[in-house]
Amino acid sequence: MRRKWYWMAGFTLYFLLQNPICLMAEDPSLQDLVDQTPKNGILHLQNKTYNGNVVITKPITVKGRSRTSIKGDGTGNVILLKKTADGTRLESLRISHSSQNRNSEEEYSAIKVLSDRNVLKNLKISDSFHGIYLSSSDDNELSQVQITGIGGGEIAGQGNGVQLIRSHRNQLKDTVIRDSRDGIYFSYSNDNVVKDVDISHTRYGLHYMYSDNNHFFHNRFHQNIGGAAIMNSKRIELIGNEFSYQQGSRSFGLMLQASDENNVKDNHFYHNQRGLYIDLSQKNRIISNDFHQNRVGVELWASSSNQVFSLNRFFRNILPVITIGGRAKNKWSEGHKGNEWGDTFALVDLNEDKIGDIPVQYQSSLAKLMEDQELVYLFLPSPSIKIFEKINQFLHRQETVFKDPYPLLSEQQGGFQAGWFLLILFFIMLGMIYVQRRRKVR
Amino acid sequence: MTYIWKEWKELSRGKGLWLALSTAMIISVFILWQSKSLPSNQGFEVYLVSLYEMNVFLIPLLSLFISSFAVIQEKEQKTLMIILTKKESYRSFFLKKTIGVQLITVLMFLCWYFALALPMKFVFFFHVSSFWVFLLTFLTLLIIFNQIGLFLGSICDNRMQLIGANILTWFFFIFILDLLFLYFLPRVNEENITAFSVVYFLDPLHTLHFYLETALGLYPLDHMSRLMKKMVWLPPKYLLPITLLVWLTLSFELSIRLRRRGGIS
Repeated sequence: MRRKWYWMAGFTLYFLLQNPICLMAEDPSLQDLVDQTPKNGILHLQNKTYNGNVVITKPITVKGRSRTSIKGDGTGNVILLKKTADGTRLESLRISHSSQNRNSEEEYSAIKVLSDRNVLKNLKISDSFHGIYLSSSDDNELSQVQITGIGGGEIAGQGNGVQLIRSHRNQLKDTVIRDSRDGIYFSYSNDNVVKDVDISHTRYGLHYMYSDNNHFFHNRFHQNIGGAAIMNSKRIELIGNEFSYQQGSRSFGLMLQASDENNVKDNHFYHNQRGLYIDLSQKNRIISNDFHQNRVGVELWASSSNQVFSLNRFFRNILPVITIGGRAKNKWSEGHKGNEWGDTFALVDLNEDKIGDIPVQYQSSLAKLMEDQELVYLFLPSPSIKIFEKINQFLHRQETVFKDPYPLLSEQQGGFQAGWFLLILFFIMLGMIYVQRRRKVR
Repeated sequence: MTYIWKEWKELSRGKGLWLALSTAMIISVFILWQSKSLPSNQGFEVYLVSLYEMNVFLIPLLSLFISSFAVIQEKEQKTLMIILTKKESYRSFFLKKTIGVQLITVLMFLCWYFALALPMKFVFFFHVSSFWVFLLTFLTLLIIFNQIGLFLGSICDNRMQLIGANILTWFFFIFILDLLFLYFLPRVNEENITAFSVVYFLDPLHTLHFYLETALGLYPLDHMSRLMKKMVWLPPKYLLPITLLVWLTLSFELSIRLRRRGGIS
C-alpha cells in the first residue's frame, strides 16, 4: 500500500517539474496584453471571453474574432480610451457588463471615448449603462455597431445607446440600437453625421440638445415613444429617414422644439400618433415628406411660425394638420407648389397642371379641445370624430388650420378610388350572374 | 347538440350569415391587397388593426341582425310557443339559443380567418401571437354584439321594431356614444378621471381597440402622463374579460327579464 503512495507522489512531482507553466502561471490579463502592444501596433484577440475592465492610453488596434468577448467587472467602463489614445481602432468585439451605478462620479459605459479620430467597428454591446459614450471626442467613426440596452423598468435606470457630449464631426453608420433610454443622445455636439441607423424600443430614438449643423440620412426610428426629439438646436438636416409606429399617448415621429432653420426633407412619417410635432420653432423647411396613416400628420403649436411646407404628401391621416393655441404664420407652398392632401379635399384641375385651380382651406374644431384635454387623442380613431367636426362646422365653431394656395393633385387618391370602383363592379356582376342562374332554375 | 344542429340549419338556410361572412371576406382581402406595401416588419400588426377597424363598422351591425332575427323568427313562426309549452323555461330556451348562435357564428368566422392566415403568411412577417390577439379581439366583438342582438330579439315584438332597434343600437355604439364622450371631455379632470375611465371602458369598442393596439405592441403603456396613467387604471388584458363578462351577463339577464312574447300570451 505504502509503495503505491510513493509511486503516486513521485509521478506527481515529475509532472510538476516537467510542466511548471501549466499549473503555476495564469494567462496574461487583457490589460497586460494592451500594455504590451506597442504604439500603433495590432493586438489580435482569440475566440474567447477576456475579463475587463481595460484602459487604453496609446493608439493601438484591438482586433477580435467572431466570438471574442470582453466582459467588464461591473465597477466602471469596460473599455476606456484615454485622451492620449487618439486614433485607436476597436474591431469585431462583444463588450458587456459595465457598471450600472448611478451614484458614482460619472456615468459608465461599455466604451468610453475621451480621445479623437478613433474607429469603432463591428461591435456588439450589451448589459451596460451607456453603450458608447463620446466625451469631448471628435472625428470618430462608428460603424456596424449593435447596442442592446437593458430595457424595461424605470427610465432613469437605463443609459443611452450612444451618447455624445461636446463631441464634433463624428460619423455613425450601419448601427442598430434598441431597448435603451435614448437611442442617440446629443448635447453640445456639432457637425456629426448619422446614417443608416435603426433605432427602436427606446424613449426617444434621437434626443438632441444644443447641437447644431448635424446631418441624419436614411435612418429608421420605429416603435419608440418619440422617434426624434430635436430641442434647442439649429440647422439640422434630416433627409430620407423613416419615423414609424410611434403610437403612445404622447408619441411623435419627429419633434422640433425651440429648434430653428432645420431642413426636413424626403422623410417618411408612418403610423405615428403625431407625425411631426413643432413647438417654439421658427423657419424650418418641411419639404417632400410622406405623412401616411398618422393620427395627426403635423401638430403645430402657435408658438411656431415661418415654417415652409411644400411638396409634402398627406394620405389617410385622421387629421392631416392641426394648429393648437391659435393660427400661426406658416407658408403652405413654395414656388407655386403646395402639398398633396389625399382625399381631404376634392380638387379641380381644369388646366391639367397637377395643381388645384382653387386654394384649399382646412378647418377643424378639435384644436381647442386638444389644447385643453389630452384624452381627445383616444377618440381620434373613432368614426364620430367626423360627425363632431361636421356638427361644429354647421355651428360655425371651426377655426382655420391652414390655407394651401396651390394644392397638388393626389395620385394615390385616384388609385384608391379606382380600386374600390373595380371591386364594387366585380361584385355587382357576380350578383347579377347569381340572380340570373336562380331564375333559370325556377 | 340538437339545438346547435337546429340553429345551424336555420342560420345556414338564411342569407344573413352568408352575407356577413362574405362581407368579412371581401373586406379582409381588400385590406390585404391595400396593405401589401406597408413598410417594415410591423406591417402585419398594422394590417390586423386596419382589418379590425373596418370590421368595427360591419360586424356589430351584421351580428345584431343575425342573432336578433334568430330569436324573432322563433316568435313569428310560433316555435317559441311550442318549445315553451313543453315544460321548458324561457331561460333554458334562451341559453340554448345563445350557445347555438354564438357557437355557429364564432366557428364560421374562425374558419374564414384561419383560411386567411395562409395568404397573410405570404404577404407579411406572420407573428402567431399577434394573430391570436386579433382573433381574440374580433371574436369578443362578435360575441358581445351577438348577445346584444339576442337581447334585442328577445325584447322586440316584430321584425319592423327589431330592424329599428338594431340600427339604433349600431348607430349608438358607433357614433352617438363617442359624440357624447367628446362633448363631456372638457369636464374631465384628475378627480373624476377614474369614473370617466370606467364608463369609457364599458364601451366594448373602446376596450377592444385599446386591448388590440396595446397587445400588438403598437400602443406602449409606458411613459404615460399622470392623467393617462389614471385613465388606464387596469391593464387592458383584464379590461377585456371584464367588459365581455359585463355585456354577456347584462344582455342575457335583461333578455330574460324584459322579454316580449311576440303574440304569445
